[in-house]
Amino acid sequence: MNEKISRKYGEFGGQYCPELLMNALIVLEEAWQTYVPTPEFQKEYKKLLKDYSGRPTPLYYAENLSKKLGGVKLYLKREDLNHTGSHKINNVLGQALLAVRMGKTKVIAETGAGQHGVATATAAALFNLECEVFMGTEDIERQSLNVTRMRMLGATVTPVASGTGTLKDATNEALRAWTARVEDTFYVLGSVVGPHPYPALVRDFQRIIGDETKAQMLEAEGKLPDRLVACVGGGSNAMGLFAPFLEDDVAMVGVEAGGLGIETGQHAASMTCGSVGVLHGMKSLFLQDEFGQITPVYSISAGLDYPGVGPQHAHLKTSGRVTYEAVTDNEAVEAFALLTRTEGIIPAIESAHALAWCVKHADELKPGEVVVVNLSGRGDKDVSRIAEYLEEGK
Amino acid sequence: MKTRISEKFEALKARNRKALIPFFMPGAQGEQSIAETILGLEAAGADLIELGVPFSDPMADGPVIQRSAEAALKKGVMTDTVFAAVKEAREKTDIPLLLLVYYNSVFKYGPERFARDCVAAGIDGLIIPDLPFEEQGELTQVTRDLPLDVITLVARTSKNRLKTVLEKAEGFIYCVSTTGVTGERAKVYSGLKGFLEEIKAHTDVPRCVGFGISDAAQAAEVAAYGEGVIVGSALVRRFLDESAEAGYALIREMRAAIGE
Repeated sequence: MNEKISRKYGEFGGQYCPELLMNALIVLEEAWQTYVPTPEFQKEYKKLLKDYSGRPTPLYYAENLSKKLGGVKLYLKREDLNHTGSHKINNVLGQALLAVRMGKTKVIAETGAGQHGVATATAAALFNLECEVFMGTEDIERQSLNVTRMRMLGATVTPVASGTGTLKDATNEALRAWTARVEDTFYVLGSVVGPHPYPALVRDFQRIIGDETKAQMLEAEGKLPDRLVACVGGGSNAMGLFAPFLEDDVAMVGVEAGGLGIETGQHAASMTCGSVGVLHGMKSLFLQDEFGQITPVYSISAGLDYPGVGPQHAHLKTSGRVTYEAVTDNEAVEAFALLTRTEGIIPAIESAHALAWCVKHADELKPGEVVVVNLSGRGDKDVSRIAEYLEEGK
Repeated sequence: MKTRISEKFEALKARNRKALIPFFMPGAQGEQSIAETILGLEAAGADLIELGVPFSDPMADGPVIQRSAEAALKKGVMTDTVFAAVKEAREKTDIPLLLLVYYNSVFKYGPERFARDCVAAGIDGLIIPDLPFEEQGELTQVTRDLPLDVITLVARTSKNRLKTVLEKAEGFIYCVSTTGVTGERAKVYSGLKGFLEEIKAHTDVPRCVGFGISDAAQAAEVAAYGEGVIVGSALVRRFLDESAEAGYALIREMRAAIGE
């Protein structure tokens, strides 16, 4: 085993998994270290990112919105323009290539908003892998477009009714399924969560977002951005953007789901309100009660509706390197509408949370401050629900 | 430190008797109290008993035990409830008692406080399905000096990890006989005998087989290869859907099948 790869981020991370999975995690780590750094793998991965997914994604200066907000210079990293409509494909293409190298013929995945599920189903179609996606019943209802897409791509979508029928429960079920099928199945985990090596593996496949942003920003502005802003559920798009900037003098904000408002208790703000715990194979910050029972969470956004967060984010919060704040459903929907009308870009409701932070704090930002918002996904999947939400609000 | 668990296995070995270890979820045990259920299972032929601590997200459990945890949580059963019930039962029995508990329940309670409260209540061992060897240090540095065994789980997929994970095994070895989650299975794993022999090559600690054992015939088949049999879902299902008596009847049948 390569000692350089840390299993922990401060006190967070680790491998809190059934013994049944431990060997598979070790084999996965070895395969990752063996195959991924090779020129052959990198060449194939980069080619897929370019020719299949359409990378590099643009770094777009949102001039209209910047004017609306006053002094800031707002750039959008257009991950929504990726094939399948979100940043999730970056990680999935990497893991699928790894699965094929490892001789696996079946993949499983969990999904919340369905973006990771669609990406996995897409890669499975491309590489001729059998694919099963676990999705909470509540999410199946609110993200039906993505359910249809997954099924058309040939994946089996397995509804998960236990618990709250959301991402947490889908993850439980995917892990359970993996223990049963660990010998022939590759678990394509969708965020920087879970047992080691997943948080590091997913981060490394997502850091292309930050690497591109850095180069594009240097070209556009001749300097690094002042601030990066990204939404955080499990935290993969944020980690991908932040990773290459961690040593730089760049402020970073992770925006989590404030739901109906922190004071109502109806939210998914595990960084703002959570405490240290162990779930889904990792030690991290979770919303839980005094006995460690995970508490039900709520957000309008299925992709952020998760009671925990990736362990590296938990570490970046406790070390003070990154600021994490919550915005509410209302604020996210307003930002969704604002971007749609001012720039003609319909963002995913998840990404709208990151934008909402900028709108909310526009007055506090320095004039001329250069801010990059990770527009992690597109909003087609959300339009009918948001139309209803706005209708109800009238 | 020596626990009631190792004393029990020594006594069983002297009598050439295989251990029968039922699991139930406090709060989902049917019409009797938790303490009465412990005594009832002992009377039915149990040698050791595992009690669950209900958790909101039982990653290693199948539908039946998930359902029992939900039922227990709905009734308000918490870690403290289980400790109190064990204390009550301890006045009337010396049977070794273990908790099957997910690590978050231990961690959030505080590993040291949890371990001390276990010992104070009369609990002899902990089975933590999501705490592999690599992560045990935080807990075992506390339990080392207490009469509380942290049970080692091994699986068919452990392969070349076996030697390492078995090195510090105490109490008994929990041999996971199936892949997948807890729950009844139609058949016993065909490679079980070889799997248990492989474990034996590394340790003299008694080997008990769990996951998937559904009836008396399977219990007898499994008991022939190791030192004990663990029955969970099959009992929990009877407690949930039938009655305490239906559960005890299963334990009596299993006892008869594996031998007195």
